[in-house]
Amino acid sequence: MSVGWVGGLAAASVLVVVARLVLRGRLNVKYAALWLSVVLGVALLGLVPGLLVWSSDLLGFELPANFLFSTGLLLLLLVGINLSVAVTALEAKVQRLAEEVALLREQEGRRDGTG
Amino acid sequence: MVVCPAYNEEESVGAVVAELLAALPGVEVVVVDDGSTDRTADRAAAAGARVLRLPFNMGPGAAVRTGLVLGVRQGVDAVVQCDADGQHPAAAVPDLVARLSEADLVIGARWAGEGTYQARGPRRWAMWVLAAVMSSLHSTRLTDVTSGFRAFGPRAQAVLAREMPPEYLGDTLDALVIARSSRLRVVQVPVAMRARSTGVASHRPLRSALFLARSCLLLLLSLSRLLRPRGTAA
Repeated sequence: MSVGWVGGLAAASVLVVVARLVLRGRLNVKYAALWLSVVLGVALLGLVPGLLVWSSDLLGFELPANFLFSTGLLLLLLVGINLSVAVTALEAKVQRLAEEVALLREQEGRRDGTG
Repeated sequence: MVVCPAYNEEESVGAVVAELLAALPGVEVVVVDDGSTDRTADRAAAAGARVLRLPFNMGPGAAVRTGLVLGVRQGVDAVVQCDADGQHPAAAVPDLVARLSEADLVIGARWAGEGTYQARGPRRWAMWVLAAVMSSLHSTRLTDVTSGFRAFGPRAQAVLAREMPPEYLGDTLDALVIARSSRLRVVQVPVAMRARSTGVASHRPLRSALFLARSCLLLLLSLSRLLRPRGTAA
């Protein structure tokens, strides 16, 4: 059961890290939810080893480890893409704000008569 | 209204603004300072331009877009984009604006019979391919699709004030594809451009190979916009 221990420990430490980040206001709840669901999945697989074996058999993987790794990679890939999308949206907003700042600054300069 | 995007152009921006104001009496000249670290904004203001200062550098497209937002809010008939490095002749601005009667976006083009500007190597091939693609897209002859000397009619202002991509090349190539998907009419006017009065043009082989790769990638990504065409611009 040593593998189960490692999985459980990893899940617990990620849980602590995420909880701390949320409490300190450094992580939005929507991102916390993402990582907490990952934690939940890892914990479940760690505590119920039969689940991993059962699901890899179901999907035709010869080694449960292969199933675990490919799922993990796919998940991280999706998270990465998701973050790129989020950053793109942020950049667009920053650009809008910068434009407004430029326009407002000029307007204010004209009103003050300082150009 | 003439909009000059300017990033660290303190050497030339004053002369460009002065030339525009002299050649086009009664026209407002707006310099959009794209987060310059030199005295670009001061020089432009001293020469008599309205100056919009972006808080940090965002790329030529973002600077032009800021000018378009101003144009839309003031309800002007024409916004002309003109580089601050002195390569675009102020005397040609009325030619561009005149063609807005039949189009939404007018491109001032090098290599269209006027002037002596020449590019070589991969950059030239890239320009040729891009021009061919854009020409067929817009069913009109376009020879200089990366030109930064353009006139925007009210419909083009409205569309591109929203959607102009900020980065280099996106502001020209991608903008033309956006124009197509928004059903804007595009034409070109031949313009004799001068050599830049300051600054360096990217003529080194590696640069131009990079230009080729970048523009082809951008074009492929950009053309996917046309898979989901939108209605006529409001």
